[in-house]
Amino acid sequence: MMRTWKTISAMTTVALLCATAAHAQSRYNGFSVVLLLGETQGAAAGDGLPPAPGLRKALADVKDFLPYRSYKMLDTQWLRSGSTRMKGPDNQEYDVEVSDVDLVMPIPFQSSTSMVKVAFKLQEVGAAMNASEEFGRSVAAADIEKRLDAAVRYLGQLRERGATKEGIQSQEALVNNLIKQLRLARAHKLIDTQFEMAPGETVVVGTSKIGGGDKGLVVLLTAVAAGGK
Amino acid sequence: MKDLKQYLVNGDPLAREGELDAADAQRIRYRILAEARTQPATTRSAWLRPLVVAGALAACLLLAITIGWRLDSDGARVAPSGPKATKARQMQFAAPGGTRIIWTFHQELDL
Repeated sequence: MMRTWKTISAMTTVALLCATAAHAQSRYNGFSVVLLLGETQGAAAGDGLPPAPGLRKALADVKDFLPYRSYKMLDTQWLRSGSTRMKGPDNQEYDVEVSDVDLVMPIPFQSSTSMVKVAFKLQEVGAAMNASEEFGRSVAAADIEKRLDAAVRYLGQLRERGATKEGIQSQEALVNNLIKQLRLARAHKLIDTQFEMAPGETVVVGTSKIGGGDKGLVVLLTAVAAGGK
Repeated sequence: MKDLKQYLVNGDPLAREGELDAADAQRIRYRILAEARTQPATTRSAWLRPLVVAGALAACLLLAITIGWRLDSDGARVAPSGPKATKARQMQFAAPGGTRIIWTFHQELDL
């Protein structure tokens, strides 16, 4: 009798969880992520921007709020949920993670709303996973920086001396490798936020340096509605 | 059979001594009384003692508060140079057209 009761309870729980997840999934198909580089310099243009009217409208809406004159599309991705890697400027890559919080932690019996609670993260590839990791990384970055300075100086000396082509190429490869290592050691978490959005809505998520800076990363995040809108 | 107690009683030298001479006893008594009269009155220290204890406690309390305050202010000074130094500020607002903007200002962003 007890065993039967336990089986029924377990099945009911699983059914409720599935129903919640299925309900949440049915509201939208996934997320469209468009990564743009906004620049204060250059001609006012939006070359290469996706033609989707929703994205165009969102960008037109925020143009007066953001200080950028031009927008260049860096990468675009579509994902149901989870993380993806996107290409940024100057060969910099970014890890982008989009997740539906209600799907990660579904709450049975919660009255469902049409809104999707989204957790959005954007970080440079190789960014520290936690704060305790950051101190060690800053020490490592300082060390790599010293080695890079020395390598660049030596490369200059090789060129002045008229060293062999192979020797210069080998030193250049070392410098490039150290630059790559330095970039990884200095990688930062740039955006970590949560917000609600309606299926079909486009939210502009972005980041720039404190005090402005002449460039900014702009993400047009759209929860693609179940109908494909 | 003698037990330990019996041995101790038997070995006690005072038990074999006679009583103190009356004159000696009187002399000792006078000496004690004279010494007692020459000692300063203790009433003053009697009420001073709680005050000293209270003062010591207050000093300890003050010291603890001072140390705590110093540690606190040191912590506030040190915190920004630690791993959390990479400060980011976030703001959210909506454009007139309804599009929401969630913007993060990052201290060390280098594009």
